[in-house]
Amino acid sequence: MFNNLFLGEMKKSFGKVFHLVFGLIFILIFALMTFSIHEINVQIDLWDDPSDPPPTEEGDTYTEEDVDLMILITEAQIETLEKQKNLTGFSWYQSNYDQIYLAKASLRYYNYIKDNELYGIPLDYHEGMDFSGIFMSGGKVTADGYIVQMLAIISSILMIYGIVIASGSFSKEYREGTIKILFLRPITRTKLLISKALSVLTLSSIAYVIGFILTVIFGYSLFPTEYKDLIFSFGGGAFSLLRSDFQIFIAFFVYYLEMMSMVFIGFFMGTILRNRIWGIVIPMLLSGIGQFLTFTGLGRFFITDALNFSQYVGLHPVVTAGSNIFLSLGVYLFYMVGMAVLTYLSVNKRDLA
Amino acid sequence: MTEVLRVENLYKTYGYKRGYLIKAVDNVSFSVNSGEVVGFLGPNGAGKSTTIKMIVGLASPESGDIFIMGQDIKKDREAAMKHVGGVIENPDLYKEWSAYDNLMYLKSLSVSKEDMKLSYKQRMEKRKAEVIDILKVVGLDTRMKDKLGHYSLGMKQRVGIAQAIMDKPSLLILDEPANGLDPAGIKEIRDMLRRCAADLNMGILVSSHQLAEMELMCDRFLIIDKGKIISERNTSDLHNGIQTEGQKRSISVRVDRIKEAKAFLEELLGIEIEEYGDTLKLVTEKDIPFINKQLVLADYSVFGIEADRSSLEDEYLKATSSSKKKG
Repeated sequence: MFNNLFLGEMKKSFGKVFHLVFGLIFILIFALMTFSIHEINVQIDLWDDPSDPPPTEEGDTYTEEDVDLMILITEAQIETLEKQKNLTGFSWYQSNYDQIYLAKASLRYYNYIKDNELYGIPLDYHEGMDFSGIFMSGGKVTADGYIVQMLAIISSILMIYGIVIASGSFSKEYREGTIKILFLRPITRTKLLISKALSVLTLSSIAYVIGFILTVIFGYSLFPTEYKDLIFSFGGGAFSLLRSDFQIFIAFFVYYLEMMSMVFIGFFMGTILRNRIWGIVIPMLLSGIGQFLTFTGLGRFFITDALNFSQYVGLHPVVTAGSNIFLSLGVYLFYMVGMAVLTYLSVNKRDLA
Repeated sequence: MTEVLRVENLYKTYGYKRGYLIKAVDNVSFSVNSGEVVGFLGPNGAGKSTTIKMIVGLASPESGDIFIMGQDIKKDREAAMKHVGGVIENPDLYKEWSAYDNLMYLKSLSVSKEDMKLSYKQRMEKRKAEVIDILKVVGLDTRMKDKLGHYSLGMKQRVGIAQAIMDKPSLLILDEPANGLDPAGIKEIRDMLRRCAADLNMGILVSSHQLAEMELMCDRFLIIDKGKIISERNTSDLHNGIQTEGQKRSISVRVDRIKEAKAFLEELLGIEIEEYGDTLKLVTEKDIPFINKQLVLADYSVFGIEADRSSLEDEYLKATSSSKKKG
C-alpha cells in the first residue's frame, strides 16, 4: 500500500503546466550559460598575436629559495594577523573573508610544494575569489571545469523548482481540503508524510540527474578534456588534493546535498505553516538572513552557512569566519532534525480545522 | 446486531474566551449499531462536526474513548479506520483528476489482505470493476472520465459518497450528504443509504440540518447542543407518541361528557389531564386499547383516541429550546 501512496504522490505532481514552463526556462538558461562559457574558449582560439599574452595566467613556477621565503613571510603574516585578531576581538569576524584562513591556505600550499619538491613546475594559484585554480588548462575552460561550474548553476535553478513542488506538497492538500479524504483512509499520517517527502526527493533528484547528464554530454562534446598535471584545492579551512574527475564526483554530491537541503526546508516550512507561499519564501529569506548574521559573527551558527558544504571541498572561496566542518555539521543536523521533528508533530498532532 | 461505533465520555475544549472555557464537546457518549441509521442533529456550533472529526481522527479528544468495531482508535488507528468510510464537510477530492482516477487512487490506499494475494493485473482489474460499479450506483458512470473540476456540486457530492461506500465499510459517517442535490437525488441517496444499512449491514451516522429527510432516513437520532447530548430517541417512538420518561405515551381522547370523563381518567390513572375543547390530552404508560376499554366500560362514548405523533422537527425544537433555557 505504501507503493500506491508514493505513486499517487508522484502522479499528483505530474501533468502540470508548471513542469513544462520550468523545463523551458531551465533549457533556456542552460543554453545561455553553455554558450557564454564556450565563447571564452572561442575567444581564446581567436587570439593569434604571440606578442600579446592570453588573458589568463599560465601559472607560476617556484624555486626552492622562493618557497622557503614565501613560507617565512606567510608564517610572519599569520603571527601578525593573530595578534591583530586578539586586539580586535569579536568584531574581527565582521568580515566575509577571514584573512587568517587565507594565509593558512597559502602556507599549506607552499608547504605542499616544499614537501613534494614541486620546483620549476607551472602551478596555478590565485588568491582572493578563486584560489582553487583547477578549472583552467592553457587558459581554456575544460570539460571538467564546465561541468563543475554548471553543476553549481543548475543546482541553484533546480533548487527553486524543488522548493516550489515541496512547499505545496502538503499545503495544497490542506488548502483544497483533500487532506481529509487522505486522513480518512486506513493509512497513518506518518506514512503519508514519508511518501510525500520521498516523492519530493525523487522528483528533485530526477531533475538534477537529467541536468547533470545534459551537462556531461555538452561538457565533453564542446570542451577540451586536458587538465593540469597537478590539481590543488585549498579551501579556507581544509586542504584536499583532487583530480578533476574526482572533483566532478565531489561537486555532484555536494551541490545535490545543498540543493536537497533547501528543498526540504521548503517542504518543512510549507507543511508546518500549511502555506505554500511561506514554504517558498522562507528558504529564500534564509540566505539573506545568513549573510546578515555573518556580519555579526553569528553566521556559523545559522543553517544557510552550515549547509554550504562546498566551502569545505574547495568549491567555494572561503570558509565562514570561525566555522569548521564539525561545527557546520552539528548546526546543520540541529536545524534539519529540528524542522523534521516539528513537521512530524504538525502532521500527526495538530487538529484539522 | 454489532456495535460498530462506541463513543465514551468524549471531551474537548477550545480554550478560553472572555474568561470562559469553550467546551466544544462535553462528556458525549453514544453508540451506533450495524444495520441502523443514526441521525446526529444540532444547531450550528453545537459540537456535531467536532464530535465527528474526533471519531474519524481529524481532531484529538482531550479525554474519552472511541471504539470502531471494537478497536480503540488511539491504539491502532490504521486498523480502526479500515472499517470507516465517510464524507466530512465538503467532499473535497482532486479537481484535476476525473472521478474514476480519484476513486482508483483512493481505493489503492486500502487494499485488503485477500486482494494482496492476487497478481498485480488481477488486482487492477478488480479495482477497476469495483470503481466502475460504484460510479454506476451513484449515477456517474457516463461522466466518470471528466475532471472533477467540471462537476456540479451535486455530482461532487455523489463522488464523495461513492468514495465513502466503495470499500463497504462497517461504519459510514456522512456530514450533510444531501447538500447540493435535487429532490430526486436526495431520494436516491436516502434509498441508497437505507439499502447500505439493510443489505450491507452498515452502521450509518448522518449529520444534517434537513430534518424532514432525517426523519425519513434515520432509525434513531441524537440531538447535541452546547457540546452535550440533550436528546436520544428512536424515530418509531416519536411517531408512536412515546415520551422519553418511562416510555409514557401522549394520547388525545375525544369523548362525551368531557368533564366527567376527565375526572374519571384522572382517578383511574393517577395523573393530571389537560382539557382542550372537546379533547383530553394525557401522558401515561397505559396503552390506547386499555384506556379505550375503560372508557367504554364506564359507559362513555369515545369519538376518537390516538397517540400524539410528533415530528422530528417538534422534538428538535423542544430539545434545543429547553437547552437554551438551561443556559
